[in-house]
Amino acid sequence: MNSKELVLAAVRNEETPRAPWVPFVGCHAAKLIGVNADEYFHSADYIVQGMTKAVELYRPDGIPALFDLQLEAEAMGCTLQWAKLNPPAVSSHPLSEGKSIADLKIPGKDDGRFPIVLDAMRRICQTIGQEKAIYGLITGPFTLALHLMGTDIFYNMMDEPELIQELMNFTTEVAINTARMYMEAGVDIIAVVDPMTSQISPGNFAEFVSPYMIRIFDDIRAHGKLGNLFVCGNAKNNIEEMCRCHADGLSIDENIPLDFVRDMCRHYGLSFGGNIKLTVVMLFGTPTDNVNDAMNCMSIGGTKGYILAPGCDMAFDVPIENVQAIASLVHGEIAEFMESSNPLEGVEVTLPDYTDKSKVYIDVITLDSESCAPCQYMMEAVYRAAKKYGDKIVYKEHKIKEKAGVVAMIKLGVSNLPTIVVDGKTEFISIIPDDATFDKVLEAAMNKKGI
Amino acid sequence: MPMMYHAKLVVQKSPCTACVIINHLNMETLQTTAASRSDFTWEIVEIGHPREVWNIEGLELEKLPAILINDEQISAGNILSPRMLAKFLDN
Repeated sequence: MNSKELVLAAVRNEETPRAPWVPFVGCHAAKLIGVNADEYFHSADYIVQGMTKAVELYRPDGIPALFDLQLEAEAMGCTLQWAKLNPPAVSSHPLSEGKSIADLKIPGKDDGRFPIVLDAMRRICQTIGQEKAIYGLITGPFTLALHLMGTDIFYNMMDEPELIQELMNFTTEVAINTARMYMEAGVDIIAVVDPMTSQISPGNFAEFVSPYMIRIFDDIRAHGKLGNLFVCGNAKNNIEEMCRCHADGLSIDENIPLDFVRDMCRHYGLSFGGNIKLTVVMLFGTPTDNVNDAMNCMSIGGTKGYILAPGCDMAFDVPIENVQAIASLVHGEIAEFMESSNPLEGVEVTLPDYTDKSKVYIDVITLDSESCAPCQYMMEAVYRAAKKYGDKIVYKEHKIKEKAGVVAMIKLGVSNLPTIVVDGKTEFISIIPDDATFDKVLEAAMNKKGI
Repeated sequence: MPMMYHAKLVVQKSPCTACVIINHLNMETLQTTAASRSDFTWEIVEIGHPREVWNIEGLELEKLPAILINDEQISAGNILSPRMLAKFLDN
């Protein structure tokens, strides 16, 4: 299964050999090629170069061609305020400045920056898209409605609901048209990104968003493509309603617990993705923090219908090594990554003599069981076994936060975290064994040694 | 002497797209309110690192953007409309 197949299978809620990795590279790609965000979003060449660089550095399985939730709004007359280090912001709202919905036009391929974006998207699909899944991100109908009307939309939902229904109907047409342009350009998955739905109640979501989302996702499906719904912010109360919108999967940020979304999505037969912490981890954390958070996500997400991704688009200044650390975890090269960023010369580690017939030796490779939840669960399984079998068992935790742990990992030939090695043989990779399974393995090892 | 209100909009220096949208809508609300009332002023407080939130008086949640009025937090991660803000100020 290549990268693209991995993502498509996960989005279809199928079992995959590992969780696919989809970093949401937006204006961060500008940093990767040494230009500012403003320049980046105005140049097809920069967008292609940025994505190519991101793929080279981060080795993703899928990637969004562009992360720009202002594109449609700008093409419909909203003024943008540009920034060097951030995505642009919408700074005018035509519907609160005297225009009516009838004055607005559905943007086509020649409007606003669409010619630039479509050119970049076609080139990305023809090159990167040969092996990687390419996401086409469209602005969700509610976020676009908010761009067009401004904050009046919240009171108008109560005061003039018919007007908001008319507006949502219009932004839905825009979304469908944009999705069709992107599908024609060759993207594999349409992501409807509607972060501002986190600002409304489930009742308002059901009334003002769900019927329109359903139309968009039905249209995507009718074109033979997959559709995902992305939300940022605390949208926990709306997740169940989102699951009913005919999307293939949801993607969420750190404001919503991943296990909650996993359970809800599984109940509805949807895939799900997320939710590596954007600020405290990706932007300000260390590579180790990133490995830790990604590992926690992967442990919760598992390998059925789960996509490892940040919660939203990565900030411009996210340190490159933080994202590379996640990539190394995904690709089972964490020891090599730790070694390259932290030379191990002179660090000596002596592994047990596994031929010793008097004991069974368990080595557990973790990030650090005190800070990493999956590592902690794995160590707890080992503690229970040790208690049961007493001095027949000798165990040791090798924390790769420490240089000696990395050396032990390399010597044992382990690629993934956390891993249990019994008498030098890798037995459990990233899976916490239940007691019966673990007992079986240990008893087999003891029998082999005549203990 | 009439009560004066001073608002602080606390934003991250490096926000994601969703935060950029919320930041700007909140800025518009504060700007509109300041233009229509003589008892209201506001400023943006940009934080470069999460630890800086502890230096901001009245900030209770780490979730941004946050709005504080006279050092009392009234919103975190949400969009405040001019009508909602007026309601808060007049109550």
